[in-house]
Amino acid sequence: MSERDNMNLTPEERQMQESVRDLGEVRADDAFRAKLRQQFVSGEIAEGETTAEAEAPKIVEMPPQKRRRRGFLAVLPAMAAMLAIIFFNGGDPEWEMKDVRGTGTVTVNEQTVDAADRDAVANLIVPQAHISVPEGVQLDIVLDGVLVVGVAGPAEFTLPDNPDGDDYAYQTTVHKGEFRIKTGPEFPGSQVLILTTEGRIEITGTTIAVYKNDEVTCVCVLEGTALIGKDGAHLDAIGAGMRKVMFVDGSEPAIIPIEPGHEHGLLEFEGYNEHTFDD
Amino acid sequence: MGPHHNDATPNTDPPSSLLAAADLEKVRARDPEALGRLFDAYFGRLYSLAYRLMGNEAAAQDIVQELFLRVHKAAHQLDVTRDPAPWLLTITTNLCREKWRSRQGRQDKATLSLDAKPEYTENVAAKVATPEQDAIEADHGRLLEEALDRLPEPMRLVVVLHDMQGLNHEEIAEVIDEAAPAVRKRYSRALVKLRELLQDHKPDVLE
Repeated sequence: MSERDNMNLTPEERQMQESVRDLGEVRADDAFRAKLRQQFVSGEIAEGETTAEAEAPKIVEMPPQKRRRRGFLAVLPAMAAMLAIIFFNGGDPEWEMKDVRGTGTVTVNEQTVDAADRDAVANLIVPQAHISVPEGVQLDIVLDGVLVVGVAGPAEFTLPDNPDGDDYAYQTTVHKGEFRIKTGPEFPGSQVLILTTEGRIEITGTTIAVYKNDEVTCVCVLEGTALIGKDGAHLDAIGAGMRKVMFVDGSEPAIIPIEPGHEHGLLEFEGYNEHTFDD
Repeated sequence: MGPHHNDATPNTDPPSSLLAAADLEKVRARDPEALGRLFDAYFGRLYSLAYRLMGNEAAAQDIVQELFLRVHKAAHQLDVTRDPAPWLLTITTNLCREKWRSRQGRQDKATLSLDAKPEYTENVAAKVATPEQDAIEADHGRLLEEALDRLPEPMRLVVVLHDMQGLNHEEIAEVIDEAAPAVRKRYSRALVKLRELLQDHKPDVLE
């Protein structure tokens, strides 16, 4: 069933693979199995639940992968903005909301809208927008083909401006919370500069996460290499699988492996955005 | 439990399915016997998947209980022309991912201020030093299970689906709604990570 032949696994990886396969199936407790079977077969399992077909759950619950289609009227302001950008900016891509998930609000440049009102959120997204989301809300914003950024609330950051010919193509500030960024195939190769109060992060092509709170800035690198330091003169090259932690109190920074929970978040972000640059 | 074919009629059973199309039709109608056959055919595989993903019996039991509740409620939506296995695996993995997310949310909140502390590597080091750990070091299977439990969840997901459930990368991509190249890449990374975790624990396990 599994195409196990065409993988270029190293001998070590193949050894791991074989060991995992040898673990075998886990057997359930017989009494639990018997009781659950009886409940399932008799329908008792669904007692007290809604059984009307119209209200049956949508059982395949996948995160949306495709870009949302907005109503014509709703996109008029964005179209107008796009025309202006094309006119003045030679057709550079613009920041666009990719997805917003969760329950709560999104505040952009001091305007607060319900996260469920996707069009309202989308219409507020502009370069250099100051954005904050509360706990329970996740927001992904894409610069077509170039960058995708994601925040998981509570978080606050400033969206990068469009390139303006400076040394850094894009510059953003993370004020607090969790900020993830992934470069796309049309990323020009010039650098993205991410600033926090404790440090600066320079990337050229990578997937990283920046966690900022009152005590630390922690930068986790999933792919590629990021230059991370207090200022431009003190940058460490941090490779995939590692993180650098910089302290507000000025303590010596630490370079250590990514914490599993953060790696989990980054892997989900990467998987979620696997198709983001396909168009 | 197996399919019941009549030689005089063409076989319309879904390929690879452990149940015949006729049985699946009855599952749609929530016929008790057919539900029983569905349960018997898939419970073991789905419980094992839930256990491997969640890492303990209580969580696995919660997952399969919720799974069979959802299956019962949505039985009328079952596509009798297709093997129900991918459908069931998808529900199970989604339930586990939901559980992870809710757990992750709490964990992130609790550990953000502790970012500076390499608690993870410290924990591993502490474990190696305990007498109980010495006692189980000879048990490679248990060590491997522990390492599997410590794999980041998205990595554990692809390893379990690939090597314990027998899915290929394309099938995994369907189940978890991600691109096959991403799955392939993550799977390869996961094997490397798993090896590292084992080596941290006890280097000579891999010799």
